[in-house]
Amino acid sequence: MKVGVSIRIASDSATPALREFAAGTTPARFAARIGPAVQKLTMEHLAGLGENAKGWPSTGFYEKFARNVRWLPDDNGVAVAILPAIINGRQVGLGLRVFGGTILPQSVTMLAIPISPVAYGHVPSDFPGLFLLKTVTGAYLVQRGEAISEKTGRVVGQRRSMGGHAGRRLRAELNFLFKLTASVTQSGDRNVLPSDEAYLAKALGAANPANN
Amino acid sequence: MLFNSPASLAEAIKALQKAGKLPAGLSPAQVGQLQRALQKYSGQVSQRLLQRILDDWRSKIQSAQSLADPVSRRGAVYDLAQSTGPEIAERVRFALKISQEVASGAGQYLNQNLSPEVVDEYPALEFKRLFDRDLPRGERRGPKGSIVEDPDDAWPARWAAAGEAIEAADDWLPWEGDAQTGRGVALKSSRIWQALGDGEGGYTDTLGNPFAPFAFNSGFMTFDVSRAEAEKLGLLEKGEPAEPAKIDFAKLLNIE
Repeated sequence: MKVGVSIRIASDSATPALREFAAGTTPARFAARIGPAVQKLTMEHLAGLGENAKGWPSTGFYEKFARNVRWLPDDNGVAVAILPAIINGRQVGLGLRVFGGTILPQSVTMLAIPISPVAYGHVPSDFPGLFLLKTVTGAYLVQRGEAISEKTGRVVGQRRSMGGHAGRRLRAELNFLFKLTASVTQSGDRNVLPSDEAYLAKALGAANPANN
Repeated sequence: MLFNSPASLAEAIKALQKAGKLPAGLSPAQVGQLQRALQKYSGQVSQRLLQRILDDWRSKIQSAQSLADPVSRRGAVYDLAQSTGPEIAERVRFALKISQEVASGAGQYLNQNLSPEVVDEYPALEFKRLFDRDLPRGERRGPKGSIVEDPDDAWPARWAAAGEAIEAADDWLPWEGDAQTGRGVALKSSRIWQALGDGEGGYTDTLGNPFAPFAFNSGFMTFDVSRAEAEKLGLLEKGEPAEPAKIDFAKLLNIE
């Protein structure tokens, strides 16, 4: 016995959905869907890194990079680029923080590493009257013991002209602001960027047309 | 110590004679001659010093101007500013910071608007805080360092003023939430972005651009809003084509 089966489609909702899905699978469309989502993830992550390891006042280091996050389409889908930022007049990249490496002086002979919250985020030329002091533990850039504004790093108040023993005692104090060193080796920190899992979850969520 | 307070040249010569450091028997005429000679010498030295400083600056400025690479030039300007004293250095540092932020914002703005696929997938923007500030807009210092609310200066008030100024009710939405954690949402093509940057409502700290940062030291940024959310919020009908912002390239790229 033969049984004939005929299927009559009363309502076709699959075809438009498939067409929509197909339209969404062009590389440009796919990248456009995922790119802004992973860019936002990266920006929010960098902005949330907050205080530095020593708890010193923030210089907004990561904010500068968060503003410079871009996405761009590439052969494998989408790439996230973090463009260099200008810090103290110099172009600085984030790669060293992420992957680690050795910093060598470029236009000077030694690197000046801030060793005080007052010096953090500054360069030696921000402080007038610095002088070199060599000790058994190394060479330092030092400022005489006037009162220094934590906000601006400048000498404040009237203590410079203070006379007598009190003034001499005060002036005899020294503020060690920078340590001079020939190079610095920094270990990388992958946590500066969102985890691969976070990127994947964000990309998968954004790739779903229902979310967009 | 010979001098405890500023002394005139004549007094100084007398004191030096008394201390035996100059011949005591100088006549008043000779003292006058010595005085004139010292003044002339002092003037010449000052003039030479000034000329040397001027030449040094001229050479530094010329060398900065000759740098073709904008990054190197920016570094040279920064170094020059450092040697002009803390006040000018601080101003230059601030100007460089703002220009860097505006350049970054312009890049984001182009990213958000140039690709038709991006505009279709993300037709709107949300304006919300990304970076914390010690004293955000909407708060100000009161007596004895206290912090007082200043809602007229906060972003929700600015958003409302910008919306009123463009007289278009359908491409932007009223501010959601509070001043610090809330957000403003509008289509990318809305004129509210330019109005916000122009400081509509009488705000004078804005930067004149249709992209973030809209004002000095702002911690607010714009982020793409998906089509699904824009349709849900009522900014677009389902499947309605989305428009990018009308970009004024001449202004954006600073072309006269």
